[in-house]
Amino acid sequence: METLRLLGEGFAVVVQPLNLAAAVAGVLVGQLVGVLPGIGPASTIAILLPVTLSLNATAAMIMFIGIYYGAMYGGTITSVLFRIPGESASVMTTIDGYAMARRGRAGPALGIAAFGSFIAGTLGVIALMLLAPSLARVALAFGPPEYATLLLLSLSLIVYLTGRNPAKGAAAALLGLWLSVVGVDLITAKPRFTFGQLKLLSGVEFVPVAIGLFGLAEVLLSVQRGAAGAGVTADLRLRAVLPTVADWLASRWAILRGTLIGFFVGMLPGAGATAASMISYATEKRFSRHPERFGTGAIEGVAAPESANNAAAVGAMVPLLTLGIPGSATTAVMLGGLLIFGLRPGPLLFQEHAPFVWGIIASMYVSNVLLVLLNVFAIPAFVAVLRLPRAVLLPSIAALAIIGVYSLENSVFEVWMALLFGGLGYLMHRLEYPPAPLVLALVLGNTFEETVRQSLQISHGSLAIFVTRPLAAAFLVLTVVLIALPVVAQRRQVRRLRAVRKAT
Amino acid sequence: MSLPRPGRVLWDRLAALLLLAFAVYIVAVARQLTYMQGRVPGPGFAPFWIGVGLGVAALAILAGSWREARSGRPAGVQPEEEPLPPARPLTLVAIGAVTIAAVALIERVGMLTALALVLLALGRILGGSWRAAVLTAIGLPLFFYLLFALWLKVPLPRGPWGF
Repeated sequence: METLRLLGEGFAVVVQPLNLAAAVAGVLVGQLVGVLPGIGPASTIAILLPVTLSLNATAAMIMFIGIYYGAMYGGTITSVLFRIPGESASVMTTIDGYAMARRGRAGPALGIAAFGSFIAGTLGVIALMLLAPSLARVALAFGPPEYATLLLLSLSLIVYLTGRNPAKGAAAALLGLWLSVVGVDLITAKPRFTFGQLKLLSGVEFVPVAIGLFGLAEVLLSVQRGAAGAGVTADLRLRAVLPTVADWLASRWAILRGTLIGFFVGMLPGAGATAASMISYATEKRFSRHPERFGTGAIEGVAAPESANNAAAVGAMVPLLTLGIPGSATTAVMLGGLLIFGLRPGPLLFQEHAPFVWGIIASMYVSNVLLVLLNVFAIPAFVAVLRLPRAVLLPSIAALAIIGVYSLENSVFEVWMALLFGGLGYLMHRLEYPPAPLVLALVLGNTFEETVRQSLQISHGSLAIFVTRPLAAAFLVLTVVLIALPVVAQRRQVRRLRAVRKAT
Repeated sequence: MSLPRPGRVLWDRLAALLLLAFAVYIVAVARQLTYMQGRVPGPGFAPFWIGVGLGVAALAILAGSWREARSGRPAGVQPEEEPLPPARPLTLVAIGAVTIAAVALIERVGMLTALALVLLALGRILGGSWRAAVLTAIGLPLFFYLLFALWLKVPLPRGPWGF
C-alpha cells in the first residue's frame, strides 16, 4: 500500500509540465541516438549534461532515463532494416531481425521488439519498485568497510565483464582511479598530480572526460566505420507492424524469460544491457524445440534480446539508486550528473529525496508508454533520420560537444580536456581498452579512497577490519575470486595448448 | 574493433610499455607524498597502490601479448564484433587538426565563429556538399546562440566583430 501511495506521489511529480516535457524530449532524443549507429546513450547524456544543468535534478534525470530507454527501443530499427546495430545492446537483434526483414517480415520484427520492450520495461519497473526500497534499507547498515569492499567488487566486476582482456580493463580502471586522486587531497589539503595547473587543484572534472571518451571518440570512430548501407525496404504501416496471434504465441515465453534475465543481469555492475541481450538470445536458442530456426528469422530471436535489453536498463537503476554504484557507462554518466546537482544516490536517497526517487520511477512507466506508441506509429519517421548525411551529423555532434563543455565552467580549459580525452578514447577503442571502467573508476574513485581511509581510521590502521566484518569479508572474497578467475582460465588454456602440442 | 595483426601486437606492447612507465611515474610521485599519517593513510597511500596496480596490469598485458604471439591466438575471449575498416589516417588527422585549431581560436574569433569553422571544415572533409556545409555552419551556431547565450545565459567568448 505504502509503495502505491509513493508511486502515486511519483506520478504527481511526472505530470508537472517541465518533467513531462523532459520525458518526451528524452525518449525522442534517445530513440534518435538509438537509430543512429555509433552514437550511444552514454555519449548523448554526457553531451547533453551541460544543457540539462539549467533544469532541476528531477527533470534532468527523467530526461536521462528517457534517453537510455529510447536508445534501447531505437537500436532495433537499424538492426532489423540495415543489419547494423544502432546501439551495442541491439547486436543480437541483427541476427534474426534482419533475417525476418529479408523474408518480408520487418514489420512484425519491429512490432514484437516494441511490445516485448514495453512488457519487459514495465515488469522491470515493477520489480525495481518492490526490490529497491528493501535493498536501500539493507544498505543503510553499511559502514565504510562494507562500502569500500563493495566498490572494489563493483570495479572488479566491470573490469571482468567489459572487454575481452581483463588486464586492459584493469589498466583502464586504474587510470580512472588515478584521475580521481588528481587535485587537492580533501583530508590533508596537499595537491596531488596537478602539474602546476590551478584548474586541476579542484580535481579532474567528470563531464569533459565523459564527453571526450564517449562523444568525441565516437565521432572519430564513426568517421572510420563509414556510412550505413542501403538496407531492406519494408512495409512499416501500422497493420504491418502489429504482430499476429501466432507471433505472440511464439514469443510469449521469450519475452518473459528475456525480462527475467535482463533485469538480473542488468543489476550486475559491468554486465549491462549488451550482455543481457546476448545471454537471453543464447538461452532462448537452448530452450527452443527448433534451435535450427534461430538465425533464419525466428521471432523469438528478436523478442528475447529486445525484452532483455530494456529490462536490463531498468535493472541497472537498482544499484545506482540504492547503493550509488553505477553498473555501466551510461549509468556512470547519470551518476556524474546527479553529483553535479548535489544529489548523492545511495540508501539515504529513498528517505531524504522520496519525491525525486518516486518521480523518476513513475517516469519510467510514462517513458515506456511513450516509446511503444512511437515505435508502433512513427517508425518511418525515424528511418528517414538515417538519410541525414553524416557530413552534417558528425560535425554537429562535435560542435555541440565543444560548446557544451565550454558552458560548464565558461572556460576553454575544459574543452582542451575533452579533446585530450577524445583522442585517448579513440586510441583506447583501437587498442581494445574498454573506456567504461575508466569513467566508472573516475566517478567512484573519491568515495573509494574516502571509505578506505575512514575504515582504517576506525580500525586504527589495521586491515583486519575488511575481513572481520561479515559483509565486507564476503565482498572481498568475491573480488578475489573474480580476479583469480581469468588467471586460472589462462593457466588452463596454456596447459591445454601444451597437451595438444605434445599429442601432435 | 581490433587492429590487424601483427601490427596490433606491436601497438599493444608499445601501449603497455607506456603504461608501465606511467605507473613508475605515479609511484615515484606518490613516494614524495605522505604514505601514512600516524595510523591513517596519508595522501600518498592511494596513488602508491594505484601505481603499483597499473604496473602489474601493464606487465600482464605485455605477458599476454607474448603468449599471444607464441600461440598465434589472440589473448582473452574471441572477438564478437566485426573489425573496423582500416583507419583513414589523413581524414582523422585533418579532423583532429581542424578541431584543435578551432578550439585555439575560440577566444580570438569568438565561440560561434570557431564552431562555424569546425562545421564548415569537417562537413567538407567528410565529403558533404558546399551547400550543406555552409547551411550547417550558419544554422547551427545560430541555434547554439539561442540555446546557450539567450536561454542558458552562458557568456560565450566574442570575436572582434561582436559575436
